[in-house]
Amino acid sequence: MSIIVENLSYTYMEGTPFEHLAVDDISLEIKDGEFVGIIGHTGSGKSTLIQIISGLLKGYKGNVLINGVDYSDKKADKKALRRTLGVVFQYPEYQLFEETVEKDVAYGPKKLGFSEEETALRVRNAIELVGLDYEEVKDKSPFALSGGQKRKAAIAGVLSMDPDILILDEPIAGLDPAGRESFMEIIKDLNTTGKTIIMISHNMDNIAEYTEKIFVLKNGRIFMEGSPVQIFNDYEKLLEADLDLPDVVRFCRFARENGVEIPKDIIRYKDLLSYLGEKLGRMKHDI
Amino acid sequence: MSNIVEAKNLSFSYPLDENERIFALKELNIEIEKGSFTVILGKNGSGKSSFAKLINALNRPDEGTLTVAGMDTSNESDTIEIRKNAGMVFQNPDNQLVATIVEEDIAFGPENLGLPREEIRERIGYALKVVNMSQYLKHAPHMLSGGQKQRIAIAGVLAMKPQLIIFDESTAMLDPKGRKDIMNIMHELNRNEGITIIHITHYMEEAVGADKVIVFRKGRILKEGTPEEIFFDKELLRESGLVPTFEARLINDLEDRGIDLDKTLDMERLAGEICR
Repeated sequence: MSIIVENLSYTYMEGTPFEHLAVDDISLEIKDGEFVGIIGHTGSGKSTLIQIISGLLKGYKGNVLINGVDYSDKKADKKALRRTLGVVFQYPEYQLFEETVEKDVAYGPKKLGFSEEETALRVRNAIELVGLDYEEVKDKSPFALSGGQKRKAAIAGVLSMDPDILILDEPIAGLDPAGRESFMEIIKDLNTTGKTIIMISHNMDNIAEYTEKIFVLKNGRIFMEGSPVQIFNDYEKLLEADLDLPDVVRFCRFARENGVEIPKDIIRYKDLLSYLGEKLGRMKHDI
Repeated sequence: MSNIVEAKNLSFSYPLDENERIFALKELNIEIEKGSFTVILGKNGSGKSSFAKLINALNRPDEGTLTVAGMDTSNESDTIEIRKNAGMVFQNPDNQLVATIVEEDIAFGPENLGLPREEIRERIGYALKVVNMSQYLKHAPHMLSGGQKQRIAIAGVLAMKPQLIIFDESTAMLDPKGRKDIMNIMHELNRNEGITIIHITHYMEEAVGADKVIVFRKGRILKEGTPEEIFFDKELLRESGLVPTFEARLINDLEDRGIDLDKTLDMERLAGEICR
């Protein structure tokens, strides 16, 4: 079970002077339970790719199989796709619309035809999963919540459908730094419980910190593919894709230029801190 | 140097309902020097945006005084003059752009000042040149990227020739490249045009290079100082919930482990420190 994309191409405004090939012959596979990052410069085709995978954009060439099913097939059960795959767009809090948080989160499961008891259970679970206090927020207007809480409530509205695959487009944009970290820990926990996570982000620190596999897009094609350690150690190629390096990697690069040895597999902050703590602590001790 | 903004015992509150008010700023004393670059840091709800709106006379003090370019913001007859002197760039440029062509959008302010046509044309040319968008004169703002739209919003403010510009979380909705762009423009406006900048943000990295940083918390000033004085004050960071830049975070965390490094906000220098 997985996502399989074969020879996918998509052209915007085909046959007009504004014709633009946004996705150009992409093939990829995402396995069950993976935490995947998709990165690329603005206009590289990331958003188009996930809209097609999510079944929101039609008229593409090639094949997209979600758990073996081609949902572009007229006979395919579209509701099954919504149960399997949830999408959280940029600034999802703009999609909140109901009078209370509880009603807002219940909208999805209701539409999917779950019973009232089942829906109530799913709503409570989803609200608790994103780290909100169910009793405290259920009767509140979603618009009375703080920015970070709104974002969590909006994501609960997707999680209440209990999808196996969760696609997140710039999930931490606009959150303050403390909010970012607590939010990402929730996503990480969801991954630990077996959900497949696909995250698009401009924030390289965030991608390096959490993902286990990365696809780099450039001009609608897959430009690089590999583990975060592989990708972020290939500086020149990343810069060619017009992308920055994570702070940790940039720092290690400067340190190596100064003759300090730092293992290549250090790309996360905590690893760097414990490595330097030990190394410098030892040096101090020796003196 | 004289102060362009001066707050004395400034308090401000919002009405919660008919009887109750909730205070946003409490007994603030602030001095901002003419020609300086000041960053106001704080989490959501710290009162930083309320302060911005007071400078622009969109809000008025409950108590205390706030003077901007020598004028008292409580004095309603000075409002227009204050707004001419203190321009404001908001978070979402879509809320600030008013016309369908870039040129007309930038002309909106000067036209309302009743300036002659020639002068308006000159100001549009100047403003677009400063934000490096001259080639977009005849474009439609809604077809531009977020960063480009924000630059047009800045040009619209510049065309008013203000002494002071307040950026109220103007980088929050942009991608990393757009953010860097806007930060560079702010510093250029300060350096080359002599405009006083007040930048309100919750990203600490945007405070690097500022003359002064003021940290707000719950409507009060928690601390005021140079970027270094703020970034390496661990107690303050814990209390304010702010996350410093990579460099400061690493130096602070290593210090907790008994390793003392020179306190620098420059990554290359820090990397050099490690090998000594």
